[in-house]
Amino acid sequence: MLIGIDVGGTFTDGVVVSKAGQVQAVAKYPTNHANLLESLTGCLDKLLCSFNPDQVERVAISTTLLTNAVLEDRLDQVGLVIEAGPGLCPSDQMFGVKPYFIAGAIDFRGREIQPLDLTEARHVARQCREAGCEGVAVATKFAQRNNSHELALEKCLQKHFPAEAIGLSHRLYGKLNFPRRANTTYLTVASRRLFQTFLQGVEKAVRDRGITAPIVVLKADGGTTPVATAAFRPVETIYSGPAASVLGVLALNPPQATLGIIDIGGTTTDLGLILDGNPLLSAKGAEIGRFKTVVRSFSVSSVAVGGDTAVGINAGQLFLSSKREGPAYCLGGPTPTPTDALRFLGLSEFGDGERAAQAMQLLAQATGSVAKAVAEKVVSLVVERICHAFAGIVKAWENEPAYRVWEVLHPHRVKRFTLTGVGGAATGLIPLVAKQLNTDWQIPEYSKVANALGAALAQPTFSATLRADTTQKQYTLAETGQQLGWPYGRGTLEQAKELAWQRFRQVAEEFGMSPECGEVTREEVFNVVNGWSTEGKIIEVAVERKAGVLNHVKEGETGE
Amino acid sequence: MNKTGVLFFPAFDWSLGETHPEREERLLYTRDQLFEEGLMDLPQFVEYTPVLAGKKDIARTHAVLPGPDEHVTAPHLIAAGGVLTLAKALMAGEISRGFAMVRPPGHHAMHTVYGNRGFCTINNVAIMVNFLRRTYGIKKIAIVDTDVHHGDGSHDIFYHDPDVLYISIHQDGRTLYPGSGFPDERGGPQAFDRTLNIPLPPGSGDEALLYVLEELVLPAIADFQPDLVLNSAGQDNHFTDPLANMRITAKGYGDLTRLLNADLAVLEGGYAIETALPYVNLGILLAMAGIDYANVEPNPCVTDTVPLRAIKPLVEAIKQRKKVSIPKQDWYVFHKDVFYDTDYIWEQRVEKIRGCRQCAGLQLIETGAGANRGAKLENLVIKLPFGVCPKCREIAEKTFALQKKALSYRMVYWQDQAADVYRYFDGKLREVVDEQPD
Repeated sequence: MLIGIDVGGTFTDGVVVSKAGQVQAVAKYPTNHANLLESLTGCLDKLLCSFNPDQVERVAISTTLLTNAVLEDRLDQVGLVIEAGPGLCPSDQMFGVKPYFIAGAIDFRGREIQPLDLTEARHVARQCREAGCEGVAVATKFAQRNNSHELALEKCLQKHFPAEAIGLSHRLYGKLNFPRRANTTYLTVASRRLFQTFLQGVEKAVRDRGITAPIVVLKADGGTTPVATAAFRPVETIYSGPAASVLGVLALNPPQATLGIIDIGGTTTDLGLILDGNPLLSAKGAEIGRFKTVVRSFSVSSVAVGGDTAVGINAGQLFLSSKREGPAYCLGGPTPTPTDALRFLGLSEFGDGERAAQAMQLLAQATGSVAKAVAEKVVSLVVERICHAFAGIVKAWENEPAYRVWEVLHPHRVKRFTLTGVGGAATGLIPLVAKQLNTDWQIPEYSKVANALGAALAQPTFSATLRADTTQKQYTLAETGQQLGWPYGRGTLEQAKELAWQRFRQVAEEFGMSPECGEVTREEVFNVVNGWSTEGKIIEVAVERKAGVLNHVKEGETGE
Repeated sequence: MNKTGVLFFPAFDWSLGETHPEREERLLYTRDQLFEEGLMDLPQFVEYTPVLAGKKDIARTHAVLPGPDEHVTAPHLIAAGGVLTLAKALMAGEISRGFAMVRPPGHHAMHTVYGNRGFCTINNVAIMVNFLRRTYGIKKIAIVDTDVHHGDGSHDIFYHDPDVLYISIHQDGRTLYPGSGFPDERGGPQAFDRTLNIPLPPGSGDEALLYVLEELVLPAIADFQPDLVLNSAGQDNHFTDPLANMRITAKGYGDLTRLLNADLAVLEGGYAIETALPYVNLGILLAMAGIDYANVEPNPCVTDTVPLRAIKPLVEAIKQRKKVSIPKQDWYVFHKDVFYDTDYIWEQRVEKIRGCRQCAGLQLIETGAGANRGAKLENLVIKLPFGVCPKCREIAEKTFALQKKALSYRMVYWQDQAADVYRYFDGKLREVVDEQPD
């Protein structure tokens, strides 16, 4: 049995599913914001009513813990040390926090163009300590091409800080984007303690209930990671809730399906896309609050409209406010909402019909119209806004920059998709959105707990990304920041691929996965020419295990 | 906010040869630098992706010979299409300026295209100019070509066009490919002083470039009053370029960009792919977006620049030159030999321009090309310029009708920019083999 628990904003959803994909039990528990651990254990206990703890093979959780902590500024005080060198003059605005700047420079081939100023480095380390920082994040431009400056900075910092309170950008993320790498390193260090405490709580609670099965945490890219390593990169768990929903939809449909995902909530609607069984990833990385990061995440976009959105009147015209004033009028709330309009039009059975009619009457009087016309207008405003956002996602994907002739000749095009509703709120809107988008639609069984299902059935994601600069006789591994000697002379793509696969197989083994579960997702080779002759090559290869589910859910066979 | 549009098309899978300067790797380090800076995350920039230029976009600017299906391949169409993508974004008001960093480059491609010359097959900037005129009715456009090589392709395409001001600043043609672009080449009789060539001595630095810009280029633009200013931005004036001998820094390019304040810039050449391109391209982008570019390049140590006093007489000579009165003739005739260095082809051309007082003047161009000089003039181009007058059109139509019967040319190309209609008439097959109707 696999347990999945999603600690969401309003509810904590849980599900028990067999490895074969049969849902055995579901549970819903209100989320207690002040104590997420309590919400999680409450849900777990409900699930365990019908199960013996030793039947459990894995517990997977997704949580808003980190998202909330970042948005509410509940992170440790951490210093950010930046070495930018020539190029764009770094400004404070590029980073989520005010950084300490330090002199030194590395170029795009990893060559030192200006040595690190060690006196300044020692001074900054002391400054961080004196400012009361609990940890320090370090990011130097092109650190993934040459990590020596970050390592030297680490040495200076170790005099004042314990090893686990120092984060070096090259060890965490290999992607080219220095401000995002800096922000991500900062968030990693600043959230480590909070996350570790939470995970320890989870581990204790689970073990106390007699479950000895492994515990995994869901990441923003839909992969799972064991509790032990999750604490190393806690920032990867932001947006694990939406990722869980996407995976849930994946599990509730046949493999290779092309799907649009729509989750209409009280105040926001989340949208996503699955193309031929592959959830769409955001091109540069997740953004959270004022932080742009390199964290791999599904491309999920949120629209500020939902069932509880207040409907206002401006100059005799109906409009959707960006706020929630309370529950829907038909549920005893203060203002008319889309939920009232749906109830009035018979598109939902949620709430009190009389009050829904009153709500529409209120709007009708104020706009000199009739209740039916007003209700239809409210619904069309919501549908319009959602469709607009959907078109935005599709357009963003289709317009992703292309850097090769081949890519321009084979452009991204979104095929016909099936609109899939999850979450269970305002489902009456889904056929209307589908009609407007000219697509089919579905609301699968268990769509209300798609998030927990997604967590339960998620699989690990991991990769091996190798970049070799054979002229410089070296290669680096992006996932760990290791710099190693290139063993093959001028080198070929095949040799680089073999090294990447070697590394991939090792990681796969650590995850207990088949060594061949990856695919080459990126490969590029450039000749390095000097004075009209080829000196070497720059080769980049990525082998990746993409997000997926252990099994697809078999409908209609439940153990309940 | 004023957004700067960026179109980056490095064509990582296209080259003119493994060790050729125009190879896959050329914009690799530019990519690394731009990506590592996180430039596209800044609110000042918006990135676009290219589409293929249409056949008609090419036909409007070039006569592709011996026929329309020769020479032009997907990479060329993407580079030109990328430039058009930014032009559309500019005209739609999505961006207030933009920089298209595309490969392959274009400014050595001339009106007639028999192959590749100076690494160029079709002329991206010229295609954009004519697209803007046709699609948006823009009347006057200035092109400032800051590649180190004379942009003889753009020079050729607009030499007889009174509505396009072409200004080229380049290393003196007596010391560098293509060996043209002298101050006395001032435009054809129908477009006199609509071409301004400013050759600089090898070793000219930032100071000289900015001096020339302020003393000659900006006044010429102010005088012309164009609706748009475009920059053919070659990065090979940089002091580290392996093919040329100038001493410009990345900061100098930034200053140039800021002062020129072009609406759109298009990458041309530049072959110091590690030492210049990442920093010069970044400098241009920052300058366009109004961001500080003072520290864009590591340790620019430039020595041995030509002193400004050596530049001043050149500038004075251009400033002081007299208005020339050109005697009116019914037809003006020009002879031109064009060498295609990449493909080793010699083209010979005889151009007749009608000395028309009503329009820019009909052009009848006899042309041929081969492995040696003196190729037979076996093709005819009938070019009706934008705003062609009825008389010129009448002559053009008669000529085309006559040649369709006489069959004395292998290919007759009807290039009607005014009606946006383009036809290739094959003299052997005796039929129109390609038609781009309005």
